[in-house]
Amino acid sequence: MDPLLRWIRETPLGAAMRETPGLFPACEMAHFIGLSMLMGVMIVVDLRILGVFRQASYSSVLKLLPFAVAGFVINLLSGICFIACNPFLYFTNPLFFAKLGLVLLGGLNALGFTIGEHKQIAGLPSEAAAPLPARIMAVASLGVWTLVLLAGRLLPTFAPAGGG
Amino acid sequence: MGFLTWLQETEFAQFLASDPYAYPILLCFHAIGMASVVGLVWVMSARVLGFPKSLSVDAFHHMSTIALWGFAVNAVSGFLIFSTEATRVIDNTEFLIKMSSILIGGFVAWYMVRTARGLEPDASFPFSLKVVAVVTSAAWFIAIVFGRLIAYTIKPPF
Repeated sequence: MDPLLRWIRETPLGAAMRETPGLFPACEMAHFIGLSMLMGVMIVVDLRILGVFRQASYSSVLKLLPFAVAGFVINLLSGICFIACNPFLYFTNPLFFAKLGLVLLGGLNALGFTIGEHKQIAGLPSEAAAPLPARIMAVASLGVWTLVLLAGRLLPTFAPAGGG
Repeated sequence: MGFLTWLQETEFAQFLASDPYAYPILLCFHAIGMASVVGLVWVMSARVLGFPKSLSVDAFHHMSTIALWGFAVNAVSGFLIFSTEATRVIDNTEFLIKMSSILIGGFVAWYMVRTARGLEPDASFPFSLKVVAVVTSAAWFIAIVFGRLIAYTIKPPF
């Protein structure tokens, strides 16, 4: 693994992250902003599917999803920047792998919802309850993205000593 | 400075600062609270700006309740974080800008929700309220930016 991690660190992106003053904090700010967009929208969408915000139609709430996708993309890009800066810090940290697995799970859950449930839910009248699979996906979504947030927040604190 | 020194030297603040888990757990609560307040203020602001127009403003009632819970979580976790470094953070410019942004962002968000809820549920909002939505969104954006900057600018403990 070491040669690959060294290569990642020596990419122009990695060098820029270490040498450009202010770039690393700027990526951190972007990461916090992206997570607020993703979490804010998912709280509304998932809770609506679970029966909160009944005043709002299903289809109107689902129209917020592009903001969540935008937040996710911001965090994917800023996350890649962190890794390029010092890959050793991440690939030696079990919390990093936990976070990656959880992000994958959250992504698959969102994909499953988009393919299997989105169209049906968008057509439901406001007073109808969402079907059970969609409710399960909503609980999973809230749980998984919250765990992603916690894993990310704890990751630098519990990094193994001397990483990179 | 008497109170801040006292606060920072209370047994509890000392515990929060030195325990290996206490401080990271505070940061976790602070991140979840941040996502709830800022995320929901942005969703409600987006709605006021017309994205999506079909979203009923009646839903602001529950959305603002969740945002308020997030705010409460962060007032508590934020005060506890503050207690561990009170004497160093009180004259940190970035901290003062963050607190001012939260004050402005909070009041403006409260005004936006109150005004929006007084209008028809599927209303298109006046330009003035759209300006209000942009102001509160920007204030919370600035709060996040300067919150992050505190970590880089606070005086070291010794």
